[in-house]
Amino acid sequence: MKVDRKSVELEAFPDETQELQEMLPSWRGQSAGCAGLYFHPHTEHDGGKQAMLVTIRATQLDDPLSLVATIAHELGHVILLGGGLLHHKTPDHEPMTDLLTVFLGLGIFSANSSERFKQYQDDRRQGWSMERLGYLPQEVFGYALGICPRKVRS
Amino acid sequence: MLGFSPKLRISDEERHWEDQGFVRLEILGRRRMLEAKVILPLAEHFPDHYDKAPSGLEKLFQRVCGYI
Repeated sequence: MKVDRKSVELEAFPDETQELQEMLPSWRGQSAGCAGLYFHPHTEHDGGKQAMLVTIRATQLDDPLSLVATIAHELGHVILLGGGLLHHKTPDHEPMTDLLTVFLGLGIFSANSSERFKQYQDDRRQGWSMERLGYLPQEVFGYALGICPRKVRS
Repeated sequence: MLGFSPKLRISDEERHWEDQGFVRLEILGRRRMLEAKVILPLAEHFPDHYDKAPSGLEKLFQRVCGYI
């Protein structure tokens, strides 16, 4: 195992916006909020250190492809921020974390989740949604996936 | 061919950032980069049953921990 599972706590948090969206007959919105969060450990009063915490938005569980992309991104924080390799105040630390997923072999999930178009229809409602996930545009992920093998060889 | 030439869909600034980004990520060590395996959304890479339950999330999380 490359990230020690025991070093990270995992939780799912409820998506209240999604619950409201399912109750109402029509909905229009632009922001879906964050798909996951990483919490850096704090040293407790007794000198012990808390575990790192990764939380996942509950609605992500409906979409395994995006769920893997979200987990990969949050574990990227575990590696870069938790490992002390990058500081959270580094201006591009979020896009760098997305790039790390390509670097470590999970870029297909990040790229395919960066823009998702969905249509839905049931007895009461029909509609569509366009979701964006991550901090890099799909074209940038495409370039990264293309050059990564060349970078490895060189 | 037919007068078309391939065009990069990202800006020079984005290309430069990515090229530098890969160099910056070498802080992880070249070995880690060389050992990284490309993971695909296939049963071969995700053999566990997934049913949106907390147990399914835990198995998926463990598997991604093992890959990244």
